[in-house]
Amino acid sequence: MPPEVDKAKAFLEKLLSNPMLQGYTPLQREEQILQLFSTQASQLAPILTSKEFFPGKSWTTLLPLLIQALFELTDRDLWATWKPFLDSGLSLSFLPFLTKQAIPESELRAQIATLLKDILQSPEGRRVATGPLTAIQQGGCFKYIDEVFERRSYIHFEITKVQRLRMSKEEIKGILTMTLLLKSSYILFISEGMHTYTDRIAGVIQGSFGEKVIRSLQKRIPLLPLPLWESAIHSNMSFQENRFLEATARLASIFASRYRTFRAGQKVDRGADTPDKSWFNVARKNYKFYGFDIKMLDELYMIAAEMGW
Amino acid sequence: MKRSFWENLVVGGIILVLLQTVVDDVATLADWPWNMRKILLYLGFLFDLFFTVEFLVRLYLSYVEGQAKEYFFRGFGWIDLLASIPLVLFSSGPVVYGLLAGGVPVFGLGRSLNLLKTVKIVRVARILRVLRMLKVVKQLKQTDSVMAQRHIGKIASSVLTTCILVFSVGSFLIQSVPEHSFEQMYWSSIESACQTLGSAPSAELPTEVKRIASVLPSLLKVKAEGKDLYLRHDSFYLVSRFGPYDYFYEQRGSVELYFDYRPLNRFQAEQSLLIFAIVLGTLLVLLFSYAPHFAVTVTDPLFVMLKGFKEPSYNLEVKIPSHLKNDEVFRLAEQYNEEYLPLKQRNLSTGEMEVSDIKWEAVSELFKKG
Repeated sequence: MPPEVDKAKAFLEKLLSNPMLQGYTPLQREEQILQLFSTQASQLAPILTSKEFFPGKSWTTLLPLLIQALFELTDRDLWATWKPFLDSGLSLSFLPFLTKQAIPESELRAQIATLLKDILQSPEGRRVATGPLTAIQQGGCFKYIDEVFERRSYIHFEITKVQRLRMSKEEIKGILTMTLLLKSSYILFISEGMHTYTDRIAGVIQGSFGEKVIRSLQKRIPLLPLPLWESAIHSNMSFQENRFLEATARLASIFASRYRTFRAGQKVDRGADTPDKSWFNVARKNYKFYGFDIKMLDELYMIAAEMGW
Repeated sequence: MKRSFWENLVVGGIILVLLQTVVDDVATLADWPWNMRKILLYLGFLFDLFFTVEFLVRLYLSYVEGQAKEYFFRGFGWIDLLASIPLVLFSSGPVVYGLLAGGVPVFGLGRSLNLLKTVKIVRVARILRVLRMLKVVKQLKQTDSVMAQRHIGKIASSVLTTCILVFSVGSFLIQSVPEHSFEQMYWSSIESACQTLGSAPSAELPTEVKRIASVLPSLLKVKAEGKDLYLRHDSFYLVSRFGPYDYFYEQRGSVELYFDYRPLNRFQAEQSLLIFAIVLGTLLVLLFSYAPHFAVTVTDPLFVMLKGFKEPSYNLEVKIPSHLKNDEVFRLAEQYNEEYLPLKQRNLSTGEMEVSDIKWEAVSELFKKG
């Protein structure tokens, strides 16, 4: 390994251990560092390219080296958590409810792991995967499923009656996890100049593009039942444009967005509302922009308000 | 910010001098032995001297820095002045001077209304020490908000100053209404006894003394032509319990009379403790009831909004209590919640705002450490 890579990693390790990044997942920390490189480039560049740090390097040659080193460090931390989860922690108990076909679980798990690795190959893939993966890793969204099943209101009706997922809440949590896990896989079909198919700002994709992605992904991993692919890819579509999106897709869309900036153990200042309640209320104002289901947001907001989340 | 040793010393001194004032009043009410009360008087004088020196030093230093006006009007310099020099001149100073000058207090030299007024001034002046509590309030960090600190300080200083001024002026005004004044009633009974005994024929004097002593508990001792005619307490009790300003002496012809002044001292100590309790109670209410209320209704929502404006990733809403939603602050907070935060969230998504929670200061520290 070239010495400057080691040096870059040592520098990045120090940055990653910054107390301000506590409570973030590896991908969130990575995003924070990338933002730092972007916002503080004018200050960082002269220092890092000086003879004390990386002599002979220009910022344009140093930045890719730093980013690559950052990705490697993130992957190291990320896979330390995700490998055991994908190998055994990920519950697939919902599969018999979706297909009568016997599915070899270990093979499926390996295929999902490979897919996730592929997604995380590109910077854009890492960016879009941050929210859904953080939602799974932090696990905060599952407590809402418990409450949804307790209250048996709009979301429960949409899941059990409209989407017809007649199974226990644990299986629903499994489907939601899988939806979130596969949500970013559309990125594998986006190449340079294909932004007409997606709205990068709001994070939504066009319906026709989504259907093509579903067909392609089903070919890639046929072991996974079609409803799961639909739920995963539809979670990137706007509910304002398609009122028939699966309830799990709409939920995944909301939670992926919520957890993109989620920070575990965030201090609630005196006079401020709780993080989830604040986020859901802001999302209610922006629901059209992000293509969220406003009724779901209303219910989640009520849950957060009542539970003090 | 960490307080300096000097500031801690001053705060400690303020608390001790307030304790000394209260204990002094309690000692008067509970009729503590004179030796103990004498120590308290000396202590009071030392504290007053310490604060006088502190005031003069602070005034000088602020003058040197060209901040004398700022210190006097905004830095509680006026409190330092009121609670130092007048006390040394009119309260503890004369008392200690009297004690050092052979146990004869300055105000115990003769009987007149002036004596009463002088003692009153001494007692009332001691109340000025309570003003120092304002400085302790200033030191108490009941909230992180500078605005709240200043606001509570302003209210506390207004209330305390009003209380003390009303008490001081009121005490003199009440005294000027003889029919309703305990002091005037006390005094007229003494005057009556003096007139009766001063004009009584020698043969009837012992009988008159006995009669008056039975109805006037303040009469301590009567001497006629150098001989003791009446003694309410034995000498040991008098020496151990009575200080120079616990009695006064009056001569009418050949008759010498000694009267117990402690009932008046106790009356004034009661008043002093009452005003102290009022001031302390007011301060406690301000600190533990009003200050949190002010924080909840003003500074906390402002703090959240300010943080939201300054920090791009901060997205917590202001909590709006339903019963306060029409307050201007919470109407502003509603705008912040309903308009600003959603707009900020959209700007974050569009990349118009780039966010990193890592501050540049933290990064530059890394470079310093190598």
